[in-house]
Amino acid sequence: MSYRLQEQPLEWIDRSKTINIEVEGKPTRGFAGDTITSAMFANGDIHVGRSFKYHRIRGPVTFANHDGNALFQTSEATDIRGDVAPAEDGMKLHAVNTIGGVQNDKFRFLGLLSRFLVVGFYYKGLFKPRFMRSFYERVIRESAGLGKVDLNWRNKRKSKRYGFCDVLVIGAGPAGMSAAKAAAEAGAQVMLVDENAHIGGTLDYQYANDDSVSAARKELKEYVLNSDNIEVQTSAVALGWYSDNWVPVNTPTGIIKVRAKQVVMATGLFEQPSIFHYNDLPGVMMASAAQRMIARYAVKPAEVAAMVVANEDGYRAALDLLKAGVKINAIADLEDHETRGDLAKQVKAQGVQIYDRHAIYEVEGKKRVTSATLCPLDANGECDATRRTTVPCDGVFMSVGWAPVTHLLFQCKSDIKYNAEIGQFRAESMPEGMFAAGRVNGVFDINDQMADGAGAGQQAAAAAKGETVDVQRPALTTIRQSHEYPIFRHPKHKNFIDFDEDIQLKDYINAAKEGFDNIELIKRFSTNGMGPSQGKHSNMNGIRILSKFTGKSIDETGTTTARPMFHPTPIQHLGGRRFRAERVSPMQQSHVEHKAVFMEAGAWLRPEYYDTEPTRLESIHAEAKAVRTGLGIIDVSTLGKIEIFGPDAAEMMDRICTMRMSNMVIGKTRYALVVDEAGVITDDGVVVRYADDHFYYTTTSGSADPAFRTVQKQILEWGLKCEAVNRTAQLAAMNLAGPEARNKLAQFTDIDLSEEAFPYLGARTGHVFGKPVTLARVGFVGELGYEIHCLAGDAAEIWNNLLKECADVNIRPFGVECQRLLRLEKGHVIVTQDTDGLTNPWEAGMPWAVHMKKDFFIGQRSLEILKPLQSRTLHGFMFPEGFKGEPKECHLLIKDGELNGRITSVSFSPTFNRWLGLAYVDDMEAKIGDGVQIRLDDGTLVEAELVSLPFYDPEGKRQTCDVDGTDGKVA
Amino acid sequence: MKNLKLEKAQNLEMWHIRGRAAPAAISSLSCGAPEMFKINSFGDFGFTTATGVTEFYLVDEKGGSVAGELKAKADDADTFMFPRQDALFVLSGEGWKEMMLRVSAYNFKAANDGDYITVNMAGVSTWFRVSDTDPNKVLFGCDPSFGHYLYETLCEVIEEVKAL
Repeated sequence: MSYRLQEQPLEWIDRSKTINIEVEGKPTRGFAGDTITSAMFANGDIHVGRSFKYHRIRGPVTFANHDGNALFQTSEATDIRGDVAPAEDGMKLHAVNTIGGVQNDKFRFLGLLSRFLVVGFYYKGLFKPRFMRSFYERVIRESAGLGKVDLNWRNKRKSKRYGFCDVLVIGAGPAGMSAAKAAAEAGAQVMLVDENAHIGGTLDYQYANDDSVSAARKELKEYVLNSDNIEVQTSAVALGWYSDNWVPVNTPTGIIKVRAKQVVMATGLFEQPSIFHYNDLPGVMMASAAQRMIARYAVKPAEVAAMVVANEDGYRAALDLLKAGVKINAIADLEDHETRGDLAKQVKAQGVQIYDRHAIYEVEGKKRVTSATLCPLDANGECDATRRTTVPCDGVFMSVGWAPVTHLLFQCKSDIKYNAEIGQFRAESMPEGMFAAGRVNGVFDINDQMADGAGAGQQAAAAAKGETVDVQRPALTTIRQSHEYPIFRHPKHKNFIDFDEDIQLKDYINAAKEGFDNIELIKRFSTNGMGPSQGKHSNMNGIRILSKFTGKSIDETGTTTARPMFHPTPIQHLGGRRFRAERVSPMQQSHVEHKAVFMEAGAWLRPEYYDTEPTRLESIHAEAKAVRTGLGIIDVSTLGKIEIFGPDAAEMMDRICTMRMSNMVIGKTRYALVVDEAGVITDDGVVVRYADDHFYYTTTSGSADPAFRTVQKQILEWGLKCEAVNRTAQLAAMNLAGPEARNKLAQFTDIDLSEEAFPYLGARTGHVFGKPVTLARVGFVGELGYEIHCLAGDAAEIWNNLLKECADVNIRPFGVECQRLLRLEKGHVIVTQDTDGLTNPWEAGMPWAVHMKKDFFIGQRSLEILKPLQSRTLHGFMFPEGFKGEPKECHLLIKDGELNGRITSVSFSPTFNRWLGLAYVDDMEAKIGDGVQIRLDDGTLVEAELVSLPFYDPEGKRQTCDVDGTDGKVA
Repeated sequence: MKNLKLEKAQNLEMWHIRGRAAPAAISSLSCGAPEMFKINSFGDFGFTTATGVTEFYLVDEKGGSVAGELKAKADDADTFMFPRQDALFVLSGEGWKEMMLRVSAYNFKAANDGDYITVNMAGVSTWFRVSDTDPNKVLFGCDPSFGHYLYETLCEVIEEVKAL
């Protein structure tokens, strides 16, 4: 049977484009512009899913993005809301939360067990016997999930973008469009956001047949869609409100992070259900849902209907239904239809039977409503079940009241109070930069809504310019729009408050009786409002029930917290495009060409090793051999590079570093150790003195930015006459190391590299391959070596030329792992590897790097205190030759069964053909030659011997090995 | 946004000028001293900008006369000229400001001609010289080590917006 109507004046569907979808294997035809549910309904298939707890069959309820039981999934996505998700040609859909499909769900009999599944049953019953707990947990967890996640899902991201506007208008109904128009006319840049696929709001479904507003609708829509000052975002949800009017707006193409000067909330209302027996049967829905189906999708919601109404909107819906050919057998008005105005009279004039002071008490039907029973209300507002009127129907439409969409209003700290006269919450006052307009503001007459929106738009536009404008906003409605208690008890229950979670009236009352009489507590215990629609059609009734139960007012009862996100938001939207900034040195291309295997060092990519040998370890050892016997080159561009200059530069260096720097000779380098105020080692590097008032200071790779911040802060704090420039990536650096370093480099530089002219720890400026450089003769890896610092733009040329011109001595680029091995052999400490967040220079074996006689340096007083308190010492250790274990960093040293320290660095040394490393030893009596026990991964204790440092070349002869005849031999 | 184009600017050099005598040296240039976070422009892309009381940037064509002029005048113990190696890019085409909304929280539509702006873009600190002559062209630069990442990222974003 087809429920498709003839063409409707404002319909969203495009009848020229047919689409075909498949729902649980059943082909369904619709039109472009249909939602999944509307396409299904048009074909007579009104069963969109199963409920969460009892697996009751359900139909559409709101058609407003709140149908928590109309959730579908495809092979690509889950949580597809059928009431609003566009039906796309070729879609293959399945309802979530069923086993065997909607019609044959294996759990459909769970409702028969409902007397055992009382509210909070899992808290009460599923903890005994103890051994069953894990079983219960597994069952509950499996049951609690909706939809199945495809574990082969590929990472997909929707880009985020920023948006800016003078006025953000949320909601493109009559008030919102009017606000946008007024603001734009006042010269403001406006962004208009609406979660529906088209602008128009209630104008296009509640007033679709009202000729009196057609001119205003046409004018508003044309203006809004054509104004250069208005950016319209449809199918876009304002997810939340954050400080300074920061509003993320989720669109089909990703989230827009909107920063608005002013925000107009024209968010409208959610229609609320009446609560009666079997109010969840397919065919029972909000009257506004029926209007949406007719006006937007040209779908007839029923053939024969019954209605329950408590406001004029219900009669407007009745007229729409009648016009669509729906026969209305009865309308139960919870009050008196005579108070509803002209619309009720029009309905009555069409022969519809209206029952004043009646409610729908129950409906009947198996898979769809087949009849409705109306009962009169007694003085207490309860149904008198002894006086029944039953009418046949296949649709029941509810129009008993509204709940304002106040989520963002709550988030921006509006002063929201319950207005009993209107029967809804309303913002009594708004924070600066925020305006409410339309029905959410308590203005209901359609012309008043537009006037209210226009007023808010004018005010917002003026405020965006820092001005105020005197606007007369329409008065609030004086007619109550929402019934104070459209909730009716029934001895057989199944009168649902929350369709998402299958919360019945008795569940909620029982929860309150059990002591959960606070709105936040009862929400969590009963789970009312915790389903996919997040209480959008259940919270208001929950508040009413709790208010009645406790005898407190609605305001005293309060509301639950409206947190972002307003609607569930896909992770791929929240994640957005991944911006993971990555740094590479100027020599990156060469590294790639030489088969570098990269490692991350902070944001930097550095060659860990070059994949030239069969295994990683063999590659590293080959690189080490090249440095020890010939020539190697490593890219050290990641080092922090700071220049400090000015009259007080030397004083500054003295205060920053533990060693005295003011007595450095120009053209020399000095090791720089830095500690914090607590005396803890934070950084180390090398200082070059260019001039009396000019120093060049390198830091560890990870410390470049913090070191520069410290320098800048201290310059200001101490008021020193000097300045600092962070040149970290402006300059590049490489270390040419090995016995051949001097011989080869001398061929390409104008600097005299002779031992006399350029001794160890010297620094010189000049040129290499014609490029300006600073050479620093340092020996981190324990060989004759030159650090070449140059402009980043020159680095690749120098590097490539060195590799090319030194091929005759088999130069090899070496990576970070090789450097770590070589410096370990030399006994050099790596800050943060061989130090931790507590290590001071005394413990690290570096008292030689601390000049306590200086007037002042950062951490000096702490080091003075710490010196006599030293309780551990960094030692070198070696395993015997032939040792077959695999010691690792952080393996523990054990003495007499007690902890005695830990390894900080350890490696197999090809130079010594044995394992060696550094370790903190707690035993202050330990001395060179002592044995220490180390516990390996498998728990075995192995013995190593403490040895003096450095392991390699203790006399430093390698620095001159090319001129004193020790070339190529380990000292 | 179909004609958006990102190019590496190869023919420019950049200088970072610091020191107590830097303001005087900059003021003596033929293009004069810029106001704070404003540019004084010369040539197609050349400009000076002030980012501090004693801190200036100069961008000039390679071997350009202004940089040479400054080098001559800055031969003073209290003026330091550090060559900058920033990765420099020219983004051109209609809609570049909209495209920037996908990578930066800064509202470029609010920028005035001739502004010098420092913003975070795709996680990288960058500076922008907003053109005072061509609204569809912008010069920007960043730390050279981020240049490769930024170029790749922006090219991806440009392709994305072109496909919209």
